[in-house]
Amino acid sequence: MMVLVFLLLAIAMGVIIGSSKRLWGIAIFLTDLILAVLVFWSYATDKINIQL
Amino acid sequence: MKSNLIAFRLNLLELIAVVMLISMAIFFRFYYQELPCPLCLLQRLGILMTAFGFMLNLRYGFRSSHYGLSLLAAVFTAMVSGRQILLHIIPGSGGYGQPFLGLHLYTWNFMVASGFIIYIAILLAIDRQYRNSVSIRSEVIQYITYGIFYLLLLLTVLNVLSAFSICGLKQCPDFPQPGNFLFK
Repeated sequence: MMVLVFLLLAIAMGVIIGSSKRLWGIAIFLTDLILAVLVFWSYATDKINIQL
Repeated sequence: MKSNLIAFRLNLLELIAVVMLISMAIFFRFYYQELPCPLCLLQRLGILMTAFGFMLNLRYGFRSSHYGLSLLAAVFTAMVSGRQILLHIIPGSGGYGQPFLGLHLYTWNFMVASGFIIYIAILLAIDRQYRNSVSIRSEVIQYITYGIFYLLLLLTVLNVLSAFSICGLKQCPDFPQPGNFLFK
């Protein structure tokens, strides 16, 4: 999951640099942010365990 | 127009700060031969995410929504580094990694994230940047801006590889060891 959150950020950056699809970039970024919060939550509480 | 140029420079300055911070984190990783812990990786992610809103500003013009994205990322970074500080707050519990100028990197990171929150709040308050959103036409500045964009993208890709080398496709180990490599 950690790899995925970095990868999604790289994709979001690539989208806004390489194309003019601003909203797509923002959508990918927000998805990434939500995933990052979930990953953090899983490390902080051990309540949920996110693995690929 | 003048306030627009100031906002442009301040946005660019933040991107340069992020590039320097992440480069330093990568340098320390090799200099001290220390692998980043899961929370350290999440802090790197948060700092890189903070740059995203500023990239949007420089690419598409200044909008408060772009600053909002960076603000969310800065708050996320402060949360993660705050959590790591609290993990080691009991005297004698030690800390993760080598200290730099007397403080651990996650403590520095908390201060940087708090600084970013204040910085973004101040930038948000420059009202005229939204009205006079004129693009900067100087070719040199365009080259510098895109150079920094690609540098940030490169640093993010390097972190993808770093995370993959430490965690593989599994959950990252709490205390990664040099021998702890891919799928183990």
